[in-house]
Amino acid sequence: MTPEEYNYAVFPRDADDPVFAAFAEGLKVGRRAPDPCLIELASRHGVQLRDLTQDGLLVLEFGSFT
Amino acid sequence: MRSAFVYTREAHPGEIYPHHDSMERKLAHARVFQRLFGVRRTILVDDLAGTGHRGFGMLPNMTYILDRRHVVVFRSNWTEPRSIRAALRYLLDMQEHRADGARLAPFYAELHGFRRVDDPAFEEGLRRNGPKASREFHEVMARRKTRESPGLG
Repeated sequence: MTPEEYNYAVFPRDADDPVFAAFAEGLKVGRRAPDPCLIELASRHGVQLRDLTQDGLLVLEFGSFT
Repeated sequence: MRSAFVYTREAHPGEIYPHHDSMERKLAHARVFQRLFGVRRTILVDDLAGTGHRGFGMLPNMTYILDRRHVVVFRSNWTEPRSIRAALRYLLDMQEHRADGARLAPFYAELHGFRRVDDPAFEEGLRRNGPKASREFHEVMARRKTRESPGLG
């Protein structure tokens, strides 16, 4: 998926229904999570997600301003 | 225990807060989000292609809890505070039992939950994004209603 495809400019006609439907069979409990490199907003430095789970539980919420 | 917020694509882009066409715009929106909502926990910004977001399921406001093995121990397709709080209390309790030397064995559970819906707040959020965000959302919802009840046209 390209950045242009991912960052839709127009709210999807299907309201992301297929994505919601796919969630139940996606990354299930008991599976190892992905380890993306993310930018920490405060420092602008790259952070591997795995570095945040090394010391214990991590609550990870996904979202946006809109 | 830590908590972090992963900043994703804009779920309801509008004229004032449009979709991300650069990392600079994405970071700027994340800073507005932090300021406007007084977010104190760590904000992590995903890349422009949404690599992290897509890896976890690509829903607009989901929550996961990962353990120190980086394994998923809780996930929900919407962020609902009470269910997360309950799951955390349970998981932290179990950690204490383990630390006390209790013999533990894993098990699996599911939950069909409910979340509060605040329509006025949601509408206000759409308007804040720009008239396009509100218009497009309501157009899609109207179309869905027509599809589900074709006789009502």
